[in-house]
Parts: sequence; C-alpha cells; structure tokens
Amino acid sequence: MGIENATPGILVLFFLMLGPLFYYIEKAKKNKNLYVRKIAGIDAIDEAIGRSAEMGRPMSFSTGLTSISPTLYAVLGVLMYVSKKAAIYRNKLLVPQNNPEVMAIVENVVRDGYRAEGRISAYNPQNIRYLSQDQFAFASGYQGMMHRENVASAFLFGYFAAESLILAEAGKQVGAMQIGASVSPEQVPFFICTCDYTLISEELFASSAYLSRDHIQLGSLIAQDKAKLIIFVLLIIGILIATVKSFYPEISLPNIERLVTATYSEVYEYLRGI
Amino acid sequence: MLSTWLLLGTVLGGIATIAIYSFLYKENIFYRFFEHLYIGIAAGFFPVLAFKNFLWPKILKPMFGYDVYNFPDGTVSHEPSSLYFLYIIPALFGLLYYTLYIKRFSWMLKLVIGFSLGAAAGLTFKGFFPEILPQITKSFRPLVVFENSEINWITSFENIFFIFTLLSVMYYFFFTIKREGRVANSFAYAGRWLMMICFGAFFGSTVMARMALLVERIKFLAHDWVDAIQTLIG
Amino acid sequence: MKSNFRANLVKLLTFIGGMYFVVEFLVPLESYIDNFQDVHSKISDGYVLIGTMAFAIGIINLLLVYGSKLVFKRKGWFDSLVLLFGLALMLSVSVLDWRESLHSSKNLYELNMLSNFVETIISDSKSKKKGVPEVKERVRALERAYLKNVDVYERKISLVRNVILERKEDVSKVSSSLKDYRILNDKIKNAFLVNADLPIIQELISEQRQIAQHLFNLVYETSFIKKLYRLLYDGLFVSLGAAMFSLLGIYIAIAAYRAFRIQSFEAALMLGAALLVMLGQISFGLWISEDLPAIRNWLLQNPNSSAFRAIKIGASIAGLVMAFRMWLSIESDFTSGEDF
Repeated sequence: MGIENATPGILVLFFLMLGPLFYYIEKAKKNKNLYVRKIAGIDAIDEAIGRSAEMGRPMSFSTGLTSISPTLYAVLGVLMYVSKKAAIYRNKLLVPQNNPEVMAIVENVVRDGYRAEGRISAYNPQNIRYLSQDQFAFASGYQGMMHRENVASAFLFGYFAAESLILAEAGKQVGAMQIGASVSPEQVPFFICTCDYTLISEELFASSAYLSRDHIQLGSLIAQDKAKLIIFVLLIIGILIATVKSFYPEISLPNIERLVTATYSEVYEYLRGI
Repeated sequence: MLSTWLLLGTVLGGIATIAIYSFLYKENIFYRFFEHLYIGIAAGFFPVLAFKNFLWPKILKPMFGYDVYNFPDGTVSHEPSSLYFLYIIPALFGLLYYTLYIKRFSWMLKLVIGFSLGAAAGLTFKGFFPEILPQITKSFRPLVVFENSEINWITSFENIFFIFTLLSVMYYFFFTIKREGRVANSFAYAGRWLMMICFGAFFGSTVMARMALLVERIKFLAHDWVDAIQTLIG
Repeated sequence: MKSNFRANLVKLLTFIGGMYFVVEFLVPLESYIDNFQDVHSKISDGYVLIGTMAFAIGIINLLLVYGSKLVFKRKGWFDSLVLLFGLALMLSVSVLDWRESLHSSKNLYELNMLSNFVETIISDSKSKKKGVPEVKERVRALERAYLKNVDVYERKISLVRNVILERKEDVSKVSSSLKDYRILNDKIKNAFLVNADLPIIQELISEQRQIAQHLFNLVYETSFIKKLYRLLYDGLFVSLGAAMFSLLGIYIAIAAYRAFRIQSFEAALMLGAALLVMLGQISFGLWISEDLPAIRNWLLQNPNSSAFRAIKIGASIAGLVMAFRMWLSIESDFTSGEDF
C-alpha cells in the first residue's frame, strides 16, 4: 500500500489523534496531579544522579545514534533534567556524541540546563565530546571513555543499533548504575541484560513528562494515550469485522483499509452515489 | 600472490584486532592507541565522503555547470540552471551551526536547530501512515479461520495468540489510563510477560549471528593474518 | 522585547521547516507541478545541505578537546597526538585520493562527451526536437570529433601500459584491454565510413569508453595514494570496525550469563524463550527434540512479531504527537533560554 498523499480518511484520523492535544494540555494546566503510572526506570534517574554525586565520579549521558527526530526531542527533555541536576550537585556530566548536528543541539541544551540553575561557570563544553559518526568507532571511544573516567552512572537514551551491547557492557564493567532507554525494541533485550533499569521504547517518550510534571508534557502524554486508544479501538473493530467475514463471507461489511485509503475522488463518488 | 600493500593491510588489521581484544583483559595503552587512531581516521573519512558523495555531485558540480558537455555541433547536453545558486541560501543557513562558538551570535544556532527540528517533524507526519497503516491492517486477522467449511484450529489459535499479544502489549503501554480491576491488571501483566518472551526469542536469534562475527575474526587472525606475516617475513 | 522577537523567529522557522513536507503530504503536488519528483528531490537536497554544512563541528570539537590536551601536555596528550595524526592523515589521503579519481575521470572526458552526444542525437531525433542541427550534420560532427581524439587517446592509453610496468604491477590485464580498445577503434572508424546506424555506433563508443575507463582505473587503483587509502581504510578502519563488531560475540555470552540467572519470573520467561530459539538453531537441538526448529520459528513469528509490532505502533504514535508539538513549538525549552 503506497500512501503518497493524505486521503480524507487519514486526515480524519490525524484530526482525531492530534486534535485533543490542546484540550489535554489545558486540562493538565488546571490539574497537575493527573495520574501517570509508575515507571521504575524513570524513578531511578534521580537515584543514579545521587549515586554519582556521592561517589564523586562522573556520569555519562549518551544519545547513541539518534539523529534529528522526535526521538531526539524526547531525549533532550531528559538531558535537560539531568544537566540541571548535574549543575546543582556539581557532577561532571560527560555527553559523548555521534552526530555533529545533534552535538550542536546537545551542547545548547546542556548549557541551558546549567544556566537555568545559575551554574553556568561550572559548565565545561569539553565534556560534550564528539567521538565519531561511525557506529563502532563511537562504541570504541565510548567504552574507552567509560573506563578512563570511571563513570558512576550512565544514561543510554535514544536510538541504538548493534553497538548498544558494547556501550552497556562498558558501563557494567566499571560498575556504573545504568539506565537504558532504547526506542528500537530490537536493542531492549541487551539493555535488560546489562542495565539496572530499562525503559522500553515508548517509555522514553513518557520520561520527560514524568520527570518534569510540566503541564504541556503531561497533556501531551495523555493525548498520546488517547491517540493510541483510537488505534486500539480501530484494531478491535478490524479484527471483529475480519472474524464476522470469516463466518459469513457474503456479508458486506466496511473495509477499514479501503475507508482510510480512499482518495478524495473515490469519497466524492461514493457520497454522490448515496 | 597478494601485493605487499595488501599484505601490510592484513598485518595491520590483525594487530588492530588484537588491540581491540586486549580490552577484554583491561583498558590498556595498546587499546587506547588504536581507539584514538580509529576515531581520528573515522573523523577524517566522513567529511570528505560528504563532500565527494553529496556536496560536489549534487550541489557544486551542477551549480557551476561542470556537468554540462559542449557537443561538437555547438549544442550542449543540457542548459545549466542558475536556480542551483539558490542552494547558497541553505548553505549559508547551515553555517549558522558554527555560531555555537561565537558567544555574541550563539542565539542564531537556535534558528537552524528549530528549522531542522521542524523539518524532522514534517518528515514524521509524512512517514507515519505509510509505515503504520499496513501494520495495523495486516493485524486484522479473524479470530476463527474457516477452511473448506471447517475450522482451522491451528491458524485460529495462532491468530488469537497474535491478537492477544498485540493488544495486551499495547495496553501495557498506556501510561495515563488507570488499570482498575483484576482483569485490566492481568491483561497488562500478560502483555509484559509476552514482551519478555519476545525479547528472549529475539536475544536467542541474535546469539548465532554475533558468534559468527567472532568466528570470522578469529579465522582471519588464525589464517589470513598469520599467512600475511609469514609471507612478508619469508 | 528582543528576546520575544528572537523566540518568535525560531518558532516561525521551525514551522516553515516542517511546512513543505506537511503540504507535500496533504496536497498531491505532482498533479499540479510538472516533473514534481525532480523538484522534490532538489528541495530535499536543500534540506540535507543544511545538515551537511555542520560537518566540521565534529572536527572542531576534536581539535578543541584533544588539541588542548596536546598543546598543554595534559594527561592523555600522546593519545590526543595519535588521534589528531589519524585525523590529519585520513583527511589528506582521502582528499588526495579523491583528486586522483577526478583526474582519472578527466581523462575520460572526451569519450564520455562523445558517448553522451550519440545518445542525445538518437533521443533528439526520436522526439523530433526543434532548434538542433540535422541528424546528418550532427553525425558528421561526431565523426570529426571522434577522429580528432583518436591520437590523443592512443597516447593516453599507451602511457597506461608504461605506468603499470613502472609500478611493477600485472601487465597482462592491460595488454588484452589495449588490444580490444584498438580493435574497437577500427570498428568505429569503419562504422562511420559505411554510415552505420546510430545505435551501432553508440554501442561501439560505449564499449570503448568502458575499456578506457577500466584502463584509467587501473592506473588510479595502482597509484600510491590509492594504496595508502586502502591501507588506512581496509587495513585499519574496516578491520577495527569488524573487531569491535565481533566483541559482541563475547559480550552477548557475558550478558546472557549475567541475566539468565532466573532471579524473577520474567527473567525465567526470557531465558526459556532464548534457550528454545538457540537450541532450535543448532544441530544439538535436533538431538533433544525434532520439534525444536518448528518451536523456534513459531516463537519468532508469533509473540516476537506481534509484540514488536505493538511496540512500534506505540512508539510511532508517541513520535507523531511529539512531532506535532515540535512543529508547532508547543513547549519550547530550546527556543527559550537566556541566549535570547
């Protein structure tokens, strides 16, 4: 199914999924104590930062191979939180980087984090280190850095590929407390084996809202759940239709795929026919 | 017979491999040397690649008309388009990344960051339905499958299992919807457990592939590297 | 006031950045714009260009971090020297290698042009293009240009053999290609004499161009710079990457040992599934049970694919909502801050 352009069905779905965002942001503004289920990995972020402060050892925050994308936007929320805490506790925060563009953004965010806590003098731009655009050169540099700096806490947030196990194992070898959050489910098993806490895919997107309890992020998280609910219901309807069709193939029932992918001219012809 | 250069390359590659493996014992000067060399080489490789594969053939060459052939009959292969000079605008805009290093103009960095994030957002919109809709529609499996007026129990069971896993895992990831009651909680836990089975299965399937990489490298050391050293010395 | 203006400017640019792709998705532009795919590819290149311009940021960072260690002789200065040496070496060798390849392509310019010219004559005559000379005139011009370049190319490719000999490389590859090249020379001259069809001339010139390209490539491939590049790239870069990748074989075993100690029910589930899949992949598993491969396939097709699908759907939806917020700059940690 090559969907090149939006169809009326897709537009309706977009509207249903994204429209409520503004409503839920307003709702979160009025009531900041909205329910968000407990996510152990996110609760552990403070514990990891505290551990690093107590031990007087640095912490590291890696965005992996994340490029400029919504995933990076989600990760930056957590990075801002961690850098603010690093500024307060005067922890050394190492941020190894893989992508020059992302590095510029990350440097900006970390500096803003330090500035927000009034500790801009403690900010050291040399802690934001470009390692390599090559996946394994990055992994090699990361594992060397973890050992030489004797990192106490490591955060692995973003998109990772095969090198994820090397990165996580490096932290394990130095006894670092690790929180891994991979947006690609393929790397989650490796994080589960090597990290103390693992956030699975979507939990990364929830982490910023969970940490900050900011009304915009909370509202966005609720809207995200509602959008998922729409797809959930769509799945159930589609499955029920397929089941009924299996029993009674001659019954004419709506085809959800056709409904969503029908072009403007097809919808117009259908409405004219009615 | 392999040339001297190829043999030298093989010998260097073997030494580099052993240096990387020495890290398994502990971080050491040998590993550190090759780690830094690796990073340096990679850092020198990518900018030239970007220029060679993108900037030169797609931007500069057509911009300055170096891809135009002047034919012997006085015609040309194609008219050079002055519209390529419009690329100067995104090029200059991209240079704003370097205001990171100039305190007075560092606010301008956010202009190019914002634009890039906006572009990424636009691409996400564009890519969402083409990627997700087929996955959703392929999940519309009937709970009961009939074949020749009889229920195909195996396929029906597979479908029920598939749908149960899909819905329970999706349900597990609802963060703001309270799970009230035993049924809801059990459904979410079922999703979590099925995910663990999924991760275990995936882990198991990658073990062989990873071992194969290790075997390949050890074979390289045991055969190609040793042979290359012997040839060079001998 | 100033900071408001700057923040609004960032939000505006963020919106504009995403605008094109959103509009392109919502409106079927190919129905309204001729040759839209070509236009779209050029616009996409513009976006890529913005990001590509940041290529030197990594190098600047390396120079700042490692350069300062070297200059001030701080701890790790020797490693910094190695890194910067590797950087300088690879940069210069890559640039010189590219220069060599451009020089090799330049040698082929006339043949490329003639090959292109024949194709153009054929396509113009098929499409009855106006404003170009008559086909006969063009073919005469083609013939004159070809004959004019025969001696030039004869000299160039003769030099190839001498260069290969000087470099003590295998000359046999060159000799047969040279022979083929000269045979094609005669065939093409003959084709012009007998006014052969253009497609035949096109095929002959194209074949000759390929042989010439092969010969000039041989000179390029046997040059010192190319060999040095291969030493750095294949010998070091690729080997180091393969070595790092192979570490996964060891780490996966360590990770499995550490994780699969059945500390919880979930760990037991993960271990059980991993064991079944691993045993289903090896011949030892068949000795335990013949059904293991089928169980393995079933596990990978059913819980694996459905759980991954659920996770990916959820992550995509989360990404979509995040993208919507990004595009409209709803919550702008990155657009605010005291830089303004």
